[in-house]
Amino acid sequence: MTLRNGAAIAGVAESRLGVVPGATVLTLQAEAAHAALADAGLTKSDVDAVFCAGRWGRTNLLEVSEYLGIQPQFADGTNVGGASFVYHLGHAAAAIQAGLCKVALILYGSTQRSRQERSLSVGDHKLAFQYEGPFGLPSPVGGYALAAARHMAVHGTTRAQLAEVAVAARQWAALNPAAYKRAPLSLDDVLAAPPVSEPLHRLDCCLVTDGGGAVVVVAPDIARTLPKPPIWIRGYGEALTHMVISQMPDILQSPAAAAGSRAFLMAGMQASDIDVAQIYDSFTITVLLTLEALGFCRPGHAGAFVADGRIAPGGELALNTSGGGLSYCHPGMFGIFLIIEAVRQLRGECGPRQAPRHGNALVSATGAVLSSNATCILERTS
Amino acid sequence: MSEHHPEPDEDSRPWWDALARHLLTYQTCTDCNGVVFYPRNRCCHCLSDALQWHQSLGLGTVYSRTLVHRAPDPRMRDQLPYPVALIDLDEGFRMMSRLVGPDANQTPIGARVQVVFGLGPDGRPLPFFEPVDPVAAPDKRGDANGGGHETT
Ligand SMILES: [Zn+2]
Repeated sequence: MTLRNGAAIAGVAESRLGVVPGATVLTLQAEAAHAALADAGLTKSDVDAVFCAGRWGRTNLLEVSEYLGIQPQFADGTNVGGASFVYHLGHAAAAIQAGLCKVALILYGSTQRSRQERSLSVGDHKLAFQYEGPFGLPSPVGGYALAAARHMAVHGTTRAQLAEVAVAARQWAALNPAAYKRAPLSLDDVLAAPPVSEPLHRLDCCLVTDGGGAVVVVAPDIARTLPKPPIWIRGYGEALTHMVISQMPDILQSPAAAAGSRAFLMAGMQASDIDVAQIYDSFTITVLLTLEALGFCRPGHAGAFVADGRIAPGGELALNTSGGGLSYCHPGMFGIFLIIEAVRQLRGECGPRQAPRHGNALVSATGAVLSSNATCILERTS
Repeated sequence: MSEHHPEPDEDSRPWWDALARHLLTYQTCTDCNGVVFYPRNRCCHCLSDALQWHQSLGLGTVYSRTLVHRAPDPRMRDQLPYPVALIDLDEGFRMMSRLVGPDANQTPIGARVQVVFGLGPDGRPLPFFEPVDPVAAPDKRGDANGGGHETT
């Protein structure tokens, strides 16, 4: 069984991004939904499936579907952290292939910056969190800091190599008018930023912004009738390994390894075939671990891999061309924005940041504290 | 804001009760011999309910560590920066903890450590770890040295 070419992405859009005072999570999702459907050449009445996740509300799917006036015949609210929306993409493709729906709308919105909702706390110290919460690790940054520290101790990775990820992201963001942070950033700036949870300092960490996004996934027969070229799902895989970081089997082995190998197997491809990569950069270390897990380089070698401008504009690998969660936007959960940028790159809509080779794109989203990953390989032609 | 307290439940109450007596405990499964931590009512290797409690010797190795500069709990802000670590206990389980003692902020990954009992932000006993004294290690366990390190 394969999802290959069983569904296509027809439309993508962001809502207002950055600081959006006065917006609600619902207004941002409605904005993004309208724009993504317009991008697809479809209307609200075509939608028969809704997918969403968020940190707001008790019953997100009910609330957002009601607000939009959609009564979906299929819905999924899988929530595994910021990776959720790439899970939704795979699950939408599966549902479409199974004949359960034809036009799926994936949604996200957050007002965490304007409402100052971001917290370093894991929340109540109950269930598994009672064994971690009392020790004062800030979350999620502390979990990633533990991974970064071990990567440095085991593989000799340096803070400067981590900083290369943030510097390259900023260079891409400078080419993206929608990016929140576009001013030049040097390696020294990243190294000199105040520490948060060592070895991670402030500029190793993703932004805190508001924003929303939407993605429209459709059945092949619909995809072929729409004005813009469909972006086909060629391979998909997911994996999750733990919730709390102390339960992660090997802190240097991201679940992206299992998810990625499933996606590559389905696609009949490997890392060296990929033209454009959108890899969740919650923290600089996340990119290093994911590159190793997906086979872009050998385990332990990602620090050297990202150096010397290899992932910056004009480099060997067009990586996080939007500026990523580090410089473009990060409204709490970033997975949907990886998909949006991948689709725009595949369509050739990216202007000054357009990757020269853009026949296929890999999206790899990691959620919570290296807990979950979904990896999807997209292609312009079926 | 974030002044949370551990909420013992039917799985964890024996663990918290043992900690109050300065004992670090863990479980093993008599069906599959797997080591289980954190406490559960079913084995996370085979789902058997044949779990037995054991006392850990409290000796382990630092798997990773981070020096924290932003405390999620306002009651811990006056201790910043403080080191939080993952410890691999010799019995085969991993747990999160704090490194304590005079050289805590410099204790590296791979260091041998031993448990000492201190107090968490709400005054509840917690297992912390400090570098093993290479000479006196076996006799300097927290539960044998009159309470060990305490912090507030
Ligand atoms: Zn068992």
